Amino acid sequence: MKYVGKGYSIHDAESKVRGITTYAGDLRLSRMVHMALVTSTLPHAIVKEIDCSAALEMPGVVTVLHCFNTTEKKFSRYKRTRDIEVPEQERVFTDHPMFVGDRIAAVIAEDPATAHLAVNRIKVTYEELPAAETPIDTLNGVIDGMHPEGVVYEWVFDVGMSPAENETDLVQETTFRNDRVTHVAMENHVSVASYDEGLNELTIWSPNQSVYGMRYVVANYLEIPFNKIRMIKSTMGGSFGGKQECILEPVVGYVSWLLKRPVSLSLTREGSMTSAVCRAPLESKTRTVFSRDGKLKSVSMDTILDSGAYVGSSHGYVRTLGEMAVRNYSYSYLHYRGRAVTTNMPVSGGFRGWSSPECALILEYAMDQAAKKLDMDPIELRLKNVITEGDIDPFIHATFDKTRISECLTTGRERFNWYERRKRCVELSDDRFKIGVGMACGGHINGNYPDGADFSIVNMRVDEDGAVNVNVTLHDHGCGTVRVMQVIAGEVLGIDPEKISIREGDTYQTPEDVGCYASRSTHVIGAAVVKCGEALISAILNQAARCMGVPEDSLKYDSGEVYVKSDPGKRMTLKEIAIAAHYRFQESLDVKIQYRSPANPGVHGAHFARVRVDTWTGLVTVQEYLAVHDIGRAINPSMIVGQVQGAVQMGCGIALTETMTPKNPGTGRTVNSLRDYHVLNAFESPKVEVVLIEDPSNYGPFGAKGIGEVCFVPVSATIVSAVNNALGTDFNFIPMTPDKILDHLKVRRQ
Amino acid sequence: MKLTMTVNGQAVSFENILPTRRLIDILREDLQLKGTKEGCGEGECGACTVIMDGKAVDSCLLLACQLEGSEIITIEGLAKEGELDELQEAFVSHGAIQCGYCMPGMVMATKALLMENPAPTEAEIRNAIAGNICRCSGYSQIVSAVLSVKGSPEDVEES
Repeated sequence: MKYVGKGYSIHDAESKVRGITTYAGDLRLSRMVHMALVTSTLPHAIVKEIDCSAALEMPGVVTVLHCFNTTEKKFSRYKRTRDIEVPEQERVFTDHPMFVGDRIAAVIAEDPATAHLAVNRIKVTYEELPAAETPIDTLNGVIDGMHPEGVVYEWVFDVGMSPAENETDLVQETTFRNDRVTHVAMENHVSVASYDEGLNELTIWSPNQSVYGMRYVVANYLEIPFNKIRMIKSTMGGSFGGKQECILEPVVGYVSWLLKRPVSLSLTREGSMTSAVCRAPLESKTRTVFSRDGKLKSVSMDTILDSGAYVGSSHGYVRTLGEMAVRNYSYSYLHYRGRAVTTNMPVSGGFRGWSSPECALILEYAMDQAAKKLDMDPIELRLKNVITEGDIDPFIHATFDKTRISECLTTGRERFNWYERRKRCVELSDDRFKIGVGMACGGHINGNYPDGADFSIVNMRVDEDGAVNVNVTLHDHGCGTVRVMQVIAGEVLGIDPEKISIREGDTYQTPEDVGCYASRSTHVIGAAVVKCGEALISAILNQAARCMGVPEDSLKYDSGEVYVKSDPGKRMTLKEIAIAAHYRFQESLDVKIQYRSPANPGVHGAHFARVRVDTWTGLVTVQEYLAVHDIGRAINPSMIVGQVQGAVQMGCGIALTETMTPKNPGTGRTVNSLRDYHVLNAFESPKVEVVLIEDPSNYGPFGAKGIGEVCFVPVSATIVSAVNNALGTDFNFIPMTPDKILDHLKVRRQ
Repeated sequence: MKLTMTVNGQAVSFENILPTRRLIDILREDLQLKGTKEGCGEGECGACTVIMDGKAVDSCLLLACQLEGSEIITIEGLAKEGELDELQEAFVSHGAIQCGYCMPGMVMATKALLMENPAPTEAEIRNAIAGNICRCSGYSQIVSAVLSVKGSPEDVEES
């Protein structure tokens, strides 16, 4: 490999470090106005009156838009494609707010500071309605009728045959609870729109994961033809799944269409936390049956997920959790019941791993419990049950391909010195500090196969100067997908990756594509780039053969040049071939291919951690961390390591400190500031060793599989395992905050 | 009120500015220096960090009335004659940059550290950026980048 496997920075690193990269919030257009939102302060209410007079008096305020002077039409943030069935529940500005943070009105002003100041001058009169703060309230009928289509979405399914249970089997019931967390992408949610009334064309810039998906929502909402909406993916300051749903795009699109002026809307941090999207709290009751020798026989899961006020993606999310339960362990029977329950809380939605990390928390906790009861080593127990090559995913009826989870476990066990470290915990602990070692593993997907429109289109063109353009609908989240495609194209064509130009999503310029979700970018779009590169080489050879007047099979392509095999002195460069194509044959050296993903290989990781729990303060320090991943092929190891380490930081925070539940719940309010929402900082984040197991898959580009989500899957479960090992506890919830740890220790001492 | 200060080596003055106008708004809106980012608006995330009189500060927490006569350096002021500062180079070469939104603040916070302490230890670096959140990375490449430039003679001279 000439370029694959070397370390590269992200493609726009230098622009970012110079501070010259334009994010959507930096865009300024002529006649642009700025929006600031007025949101509900009650969890469930009817807006009786809005008094905007004081705001309208402020110099610089253009107008105030609100639920009584704008459309009543509704949209769904998640209906990004025709085949997603989800009710349209959300208005641009609502007179029936259903959570604290729901949009009621917006100030439109000539500059952002004025817009934000004017928000405080708007008076809203409400009639308060009964609110459901938890799914239990909803199931007890508190908000029956809030949405005409219902407030509970339920899935029940079984796969496999329920095996006979023996008296000697270990049958255990476990529960696991996740709290509500938020993505904390450093760039807040933002969108910019510009409507051209002469052309009836609407252009929207936003950091999003699918320009075509956003277009689908906005076009249907505004009843503008698809081909009159230009959706452009802007540089993304982090998503982690938070920017995959269509939240602000319909809002700015509508307002720009209404006012006939360009509009910019940047949420504040509070807005991103409460008005946009968060990860759902959920509780799962799980029954697992193991034979005495540790073979998992069956899993039965009953999950209740708090979808927040609008169902959004939650119905799909809670179903996927059940489907993820077969991506790491092989067993004969799964019974799954999942319910997404509407409440009067912020809207839940996609989060890195799309339910796989939550599934890992549930199953890994059950595994650790079973290991204790069966008196087995936790890694040994997992090795008896993880999937192996040849196993079939019972939901999609496809193999996991070359899955290497066993090797992740055994490699990690050795590298982490597992047995020795486990043993030494006691001697390293003292009265105050307790040391614990834990581990967890998990699996994920690579794309949507066999569901949805999982195809990619790539178009490559050689310019007259010999430069290669790759036109593809990418959405780099900030983790280096553009660079990955440069490296892949560079490897196929034998050209320095830096010299290859790659496009990102723009519905007027780049081809149709479902979007960058589900760890499909490298695996699916990358494979499409390989296929297109091969097609381009064929086209180059064909063109060169015509130029040189020799048969095509007498030529060889190598690193941007074509030569006659029997006479290597006779050669043409890409530049010469492109010029000849233009001026001798009146053609462009330009190819386009379609690629349909043929598989969905397993991708896995096993993580290991040592923690120290301070029993005086309840603070947990993650002292050491090892992540071992089955990656297929590492295209850009430097960014992979960075991504894995970032996932560990995020997963440790979610396990230990991050929660949107306030100290005094019961008002429908959540934590709404980074002052109270604690993500791990540089001082608290552990050092993370990353080991990559490379055994190329049969499908991805050069055998590569995804990493961005799977690296996050086992993290929180690993920390739960380690803390429970340190304290001898059975904590079955996250986050394990200092308060909760101290409360538990207090009870234990009594 | 009137305000005169220096931004990236250039004198700037305002004849009539609100005393409560935030430094970040002056930089981004009035001076069009959009490299400085707002992440939280309350001094928790560090994305808006700039250097004021040699110290790292949150530009979202400083008001115009606190700025008279101050010397501000923003991310745009680090490269000299188009050449990246050594610290910026190190961030690029160490793979420390992902989504990049925290980067202007992260670079300015560590630049301020190096100006004051040209040879910081790893713990000092981690402490100096404890108020700068990066959600993409585990901070390791950032720390490595800063460690790689510590104690270089040019750096001492510059500061």
